[in-house]
Parts: sequence; structure tokens; C-alpha cells
Amino acid sequence: MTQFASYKDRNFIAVIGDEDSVTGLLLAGIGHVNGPKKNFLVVDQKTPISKIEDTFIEFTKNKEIAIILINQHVANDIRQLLDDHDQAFPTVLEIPSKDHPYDPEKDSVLKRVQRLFGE
Amino acid sequence: MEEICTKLDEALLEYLSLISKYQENWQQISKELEGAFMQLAHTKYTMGPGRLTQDQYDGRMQAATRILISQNLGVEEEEKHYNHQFSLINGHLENDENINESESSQSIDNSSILRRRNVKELETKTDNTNKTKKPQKKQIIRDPLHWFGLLVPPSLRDSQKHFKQGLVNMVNLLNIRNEILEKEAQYRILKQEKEKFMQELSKSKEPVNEEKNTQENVS
Repeated sequence: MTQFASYKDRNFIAVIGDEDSVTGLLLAGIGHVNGPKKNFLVVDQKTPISKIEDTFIEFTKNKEIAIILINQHVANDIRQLLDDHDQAFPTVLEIPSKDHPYDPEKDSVLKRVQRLFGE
Repeated sequence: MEEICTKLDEALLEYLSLISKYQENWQQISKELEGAFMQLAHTKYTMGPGRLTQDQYDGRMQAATRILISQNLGVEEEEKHYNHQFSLINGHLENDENINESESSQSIDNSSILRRRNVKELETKTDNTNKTKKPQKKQIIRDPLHWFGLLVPPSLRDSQKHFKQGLVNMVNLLNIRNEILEKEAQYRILKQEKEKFMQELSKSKEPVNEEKNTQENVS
């Protein structure tokens, strides 16, 4: 029950992605700025991977975030971190971007299904 | 044994239907995002370069769309890991409703005042409404559309609608994903039960077979 109480504080959606994805999701109203803390990161070609990693870790430690949305192509850059993240909260969802449409072959859930029936 | 098998079949069927739901949901998300990106590109074209970038984001933004996590009851403790559900709460809508309600209450107040035509009462009531108005104004969250100008192209509004719908679908997808993971755990437990049962059956059959073999040898 104490765990459930902490769930109630988690009500933000964070996003890591290219400028168009972030702009769109902020238009949908998920953006939140609290002092120096933001719940989004715009990734472009110049963004170092260490910054993406640091932001992802920061989001996973933030107890106000319930969901992290991340572009699939950005997620590929920090795959190890994503694989190591096994907690229920925040939940991570890989989303398609303008230049990288949804690829079912890279979908983690469908991979699990294949594994289940492949055993 | 039959009971376990029927349970296993049911779990598998539900699991497969959830997966097809999951795939359908992904198709919807892809469609929404495709439309959203197309409209965003159109906006960039009409507004000109550099008018729709991260530089225009409002540094004081507050989340209008939030998540509420609720826990499903009646699920076994072993599956606790995935037995939660997400739902979207729209701050904009709630605020709009509050404002509308306050406006309507004000109009009722005003009409009653007019009927009474009492000047003193009118003054006191307007004072009260002014007092209640102030804190409600603070609650209003700016529509992110206005970061990019007051008169934005309709394509940006369309893009916003697509992104909002896409976000709703994403939350639905996460709920389906949780259900899939829960069902998968259930399926694995049932499969293990079945295997145990089969092993016990084969063990109990083995001594009978051995006895038969010895009897045949003797004869």
C-alpha cells in the first residue's frame, strides 16, 4: 500500500526525442518546467550520447514521472540503459519519429511473444 | 488435468487477442503521428523557417495533460508488478469546466440581483465574484499553441489534435502492454503447473509398468 501511495505522485509524461516529436508532444500539453528541471530533451545530431544517458537516468530517478516516451532511434543509442531499466515505474515506451516509422521487428513486446512461442 | 488444459487454452486465447489489440493500437498511433508530422511540416512551410523550434517554447510551461495511476484490484500478488492502469487527465478540460461553471454561477447571481434591484446587495455580490475570480485566473494554463503566435495556421491546430489523440492511444497501448505481461506471467505459471502434473503422472505410471514387465518375465 505504501508503494501505491507513491504511484499517486507520478503524474508527468517525459519525452526524449527529435525536435518535431518533442514539439508535438508539448503541444499536447505534457511539458512541465520546474526551475532548472524540465521533463523533455530535444535530441539532434550534435547532442552527445552522454547527455541523453544522463537525462534518461535523471528521468528514471524522478519520482514525479510516470511514463518516459523516447524515439526509437534515440533509444537505440542507449539500448543498454533501457535494457537495464527493469522497474515498473517510470514505464518506458519507444515511439516512432518523423524519419523513423514504427518497426514491429524492434518491438520489445513482440520480441517477447516470439521468445515465448519459440521456446 | 483437463481443468489446467482448459485454463491454459483460455489464457492463450486471451493473450493472442491482446496481442492483436496491441498491433491494432500501434497502427492507430502510427497513423495519428504520420498525420501530426505532416501537419507540422505544413505549418513550418507556411510560417517560415525558425518559427517553430524549441526556442519558442515557454520556459514557464505547466503540464496540462497528466497521468493518473490506478491499481487493479483482485489480482494475485505475484503479478503485482504489472497490475496498474494509466489514465490521462486533461488539465485544460478541467479548468475550462471550472471557468464555465463559475461564469454560469455568476450569471445566475447577476440575474437574481437584477430582479431584486437592491443596490447594496449588488455591490457586495460583485465584490464576492471579483474575489472568487482572482484565484481562478491563476489556474488557467496557457495553450501551448500560443507559444508560436496568437494567430497560428490551422495546420498547427490539426497537428495538435493528432498529437493529443496519439497520446491517448499511447496510454491505451501501455495499458494493453501491462495486460499482455500479466497474461504472459499467468500463462507461464499454468504451463509450469501442467508440466509438474505430467511429471507426477509419469512417475505414478512407471512402477505399474515395471510390475507388468516383471509379471511378463515370470510367465
